[in-house]
Amino acid sequence: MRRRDFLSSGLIAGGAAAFGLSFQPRLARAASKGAVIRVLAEGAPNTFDPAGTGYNIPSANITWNVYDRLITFGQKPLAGPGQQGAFIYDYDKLVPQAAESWTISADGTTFTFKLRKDAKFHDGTPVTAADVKWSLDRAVNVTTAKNQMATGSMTDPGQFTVIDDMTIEIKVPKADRFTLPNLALLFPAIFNSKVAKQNATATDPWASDWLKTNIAGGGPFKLGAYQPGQQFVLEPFADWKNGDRTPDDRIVYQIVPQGSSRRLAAERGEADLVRDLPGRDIKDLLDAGKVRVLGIANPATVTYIAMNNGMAPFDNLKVRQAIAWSVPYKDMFEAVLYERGAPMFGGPADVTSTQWPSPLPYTQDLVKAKALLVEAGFPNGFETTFSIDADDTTVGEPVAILMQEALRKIGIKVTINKVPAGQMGTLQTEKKLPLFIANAGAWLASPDYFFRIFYQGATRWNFGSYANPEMVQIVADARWETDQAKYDALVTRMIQLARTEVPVIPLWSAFQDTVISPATSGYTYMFHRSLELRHLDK
Amino acid sequence: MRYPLVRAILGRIWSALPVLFGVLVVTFLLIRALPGDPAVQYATSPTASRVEIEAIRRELGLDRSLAEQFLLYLGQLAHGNFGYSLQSGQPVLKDFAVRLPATIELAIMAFVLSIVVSLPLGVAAAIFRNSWFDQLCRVLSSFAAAMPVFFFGLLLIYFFYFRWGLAPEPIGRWPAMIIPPDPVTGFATIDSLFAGDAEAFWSALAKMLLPATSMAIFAVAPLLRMMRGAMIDALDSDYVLAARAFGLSRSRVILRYALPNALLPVLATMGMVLSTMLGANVMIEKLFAWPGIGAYAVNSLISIDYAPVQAFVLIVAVLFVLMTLVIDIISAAIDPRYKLKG
Repeated sequence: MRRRDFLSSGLIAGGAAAFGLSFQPRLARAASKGAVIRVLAEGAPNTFDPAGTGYNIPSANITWNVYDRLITFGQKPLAGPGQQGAFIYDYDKLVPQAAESWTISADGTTFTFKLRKDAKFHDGTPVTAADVKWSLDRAVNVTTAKNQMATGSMTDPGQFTVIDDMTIEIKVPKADRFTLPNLALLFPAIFNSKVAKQNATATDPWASDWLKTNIAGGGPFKLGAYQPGQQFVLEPFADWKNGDRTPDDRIVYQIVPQGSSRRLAAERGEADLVRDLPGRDIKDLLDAGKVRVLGIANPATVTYIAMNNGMAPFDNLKVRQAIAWSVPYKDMFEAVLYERGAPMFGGPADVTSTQWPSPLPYTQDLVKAKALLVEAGFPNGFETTFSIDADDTTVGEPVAILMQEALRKIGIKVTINKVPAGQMGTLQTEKKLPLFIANAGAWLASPDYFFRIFYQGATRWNFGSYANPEMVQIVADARWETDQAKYDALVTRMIQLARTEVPVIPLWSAFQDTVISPATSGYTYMFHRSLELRHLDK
Repeated sequence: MRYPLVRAILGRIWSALPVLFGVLVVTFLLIRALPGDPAVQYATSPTASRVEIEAIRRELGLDRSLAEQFLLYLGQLAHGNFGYSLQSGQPVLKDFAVRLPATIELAIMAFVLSIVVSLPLGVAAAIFRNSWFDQLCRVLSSFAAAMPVFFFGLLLIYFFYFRWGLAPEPIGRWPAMIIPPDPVTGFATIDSLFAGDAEAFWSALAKMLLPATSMAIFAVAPLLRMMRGAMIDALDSDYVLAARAFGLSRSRVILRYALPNALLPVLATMGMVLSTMLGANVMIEKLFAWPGIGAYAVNSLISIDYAPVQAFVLIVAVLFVLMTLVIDIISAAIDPRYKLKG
């Protein structure tokens, strides 16, 4: 070694020592036995409380996986093109989770759940019936959860009784087809009641403040590192007993707001699950054939063009029908959605099944539309505004432009109104928009439940402000109908009304597209559209 | 000398207080004047009814009168409490503790990059006025000024990350597989050094290269032009002519006489550039999933999340006040004619 080399190497070493630098590569937790599954998505969770005030959809990515519920939905394999190896939740098949088994009394009003032995919370405390009771009591008390629980006839803590440490009983006043599925939703998660109670206060008896930023659960995953708005890590809970398979992969979920960055990472194969890519990107990726895309539609989530039935001229049935016949469905589906969804138009003329949502009979027929408009008393058309969410540039904006163009052909002059995202909900709730685009899904897939939320009542979700006394009546009748034939007859009538009266115009059920790495298997689509992680394997 | 300086600084801060209070009031009122109801926005459940919306309104304290809300807000501020972000689910101060250093670190790196490139170029362009080199600088700076910031960001990502794989993934401050060092200052590079973690230091630095370069490109144009113009003025001035006439060497004339005098207007431009980098680089932050305050504030505004927006405006206002103060102090140090006013 020459003297100069010796000196400079000494200098570098000295400099490093001065900073205390070590030049050994250091990998995050190399000792963990499973693989790391890396997820890239757009939205950041805003609470750890499954029934938290103002919880957003991404927060279900955490709450669903760190908490268990008494029961959960089963899964069935998907068989569509490109869907091999993936699963979707089975609304008709509930399976045990924290409960090992359950029985229902003959009259359908008493549900008795036996808990699994040896199940533990993340801190090692055994899961007992008292924890389940506290959690259910909480779900019927906190603002965000109680309305949903009420749809399953659960409204009062008195309905939940601890029989013994391992047995809990739920009583409802009247047999209700929604009691069980409601127990499988996000809200009735089972909390470690001892820990939660320690953090409750007199003004906050349900520890909502604490549970917002802390987790007291026993689900298949524990929350590891958490950097709000950036990323979180879910570690598999090795002692998890409440399912068939204990997960062993860590999940690194990163929040990447920019679609182009997510797409590049997907293309370079640097992530295992990439979500929230627009149809255009998905189409390009599929055309290039380099990545695997799972396109799965939520059967109960629909994108609509909503018309305000309580406001002229949309209170006129013929006007609504005219608009339903003038929507350029196919163009929209192809040019805007890139066919990434299940169409809700061009269906058969007659109601052939009680499945809902299902395609309506409408297609674009401007002659028919014009004739209906004349019949309605608007031979020269009218002027209206079509409101879209200003943030929704990928779907809302082109849909609005295509609508504007189509309606101009039958004489209706449309002004497009871009509403800031934060304002859209308010205007929808206050029923102030004449014509707008809306997208929403029902968690429970029974048709009468769907109609109850979206086709009647005073909430925001009745996007059409539809107020048909017959619909209100049959929705109420179907609620408690136990005779399947009668129930089907009622549902058929609801579907007929939705088709002929078109208070809202369904366009499609958009796919939830997920780019998935070849090494990852066991993807399961859940009703809440966030990630179900325990089946994933890499 | 020292005492007047301290007095001037204190005076400056004192006179900034009413401005900051005005900022508080205006932001508070403006954001509430926005159409859109947070209670509705955050009543997310499909079964949410009027009752639930009202309950949420009460929880958020929005059922109180404006004056009452404002007094409560002031009371909170007095206790150093900036409120709670509905969008991130965290106390606003905690969000800023993470995000402000990320923004500052990136801005400083971009700022240094842009200065290192633009000042020598500007000086050289002035010295070799109207040469091909000067023309080239003009073309480059026009191009940099004409394109939006994110355009360069996209280009850089496409080539350096996607095509050539030279730069790390344009996502966040840390590679996915690295455990960030314990935050001490919040600056990724400095914290890595504190932790003695070379790998973390280099990955943090590498992660900053593309976003900082994108931001720097936008700053090159104003700095380069300002430097060139000021340098030309200085070179044409009487004292430089006089220095030349005394037969001083060319480099001595440029470095000792022209450059310091030319720096003063450039300094003011630097201040503006840095302020813009701190406050308005939303596109870059979004593009690179950079956890900074710009993207955070815009997201909060869109989702009508009051507390973070109020805090953002206040914090940026304070930063502006401090920065103009620092620039004035430096200006006074460079040029004795420049008086620091209280």
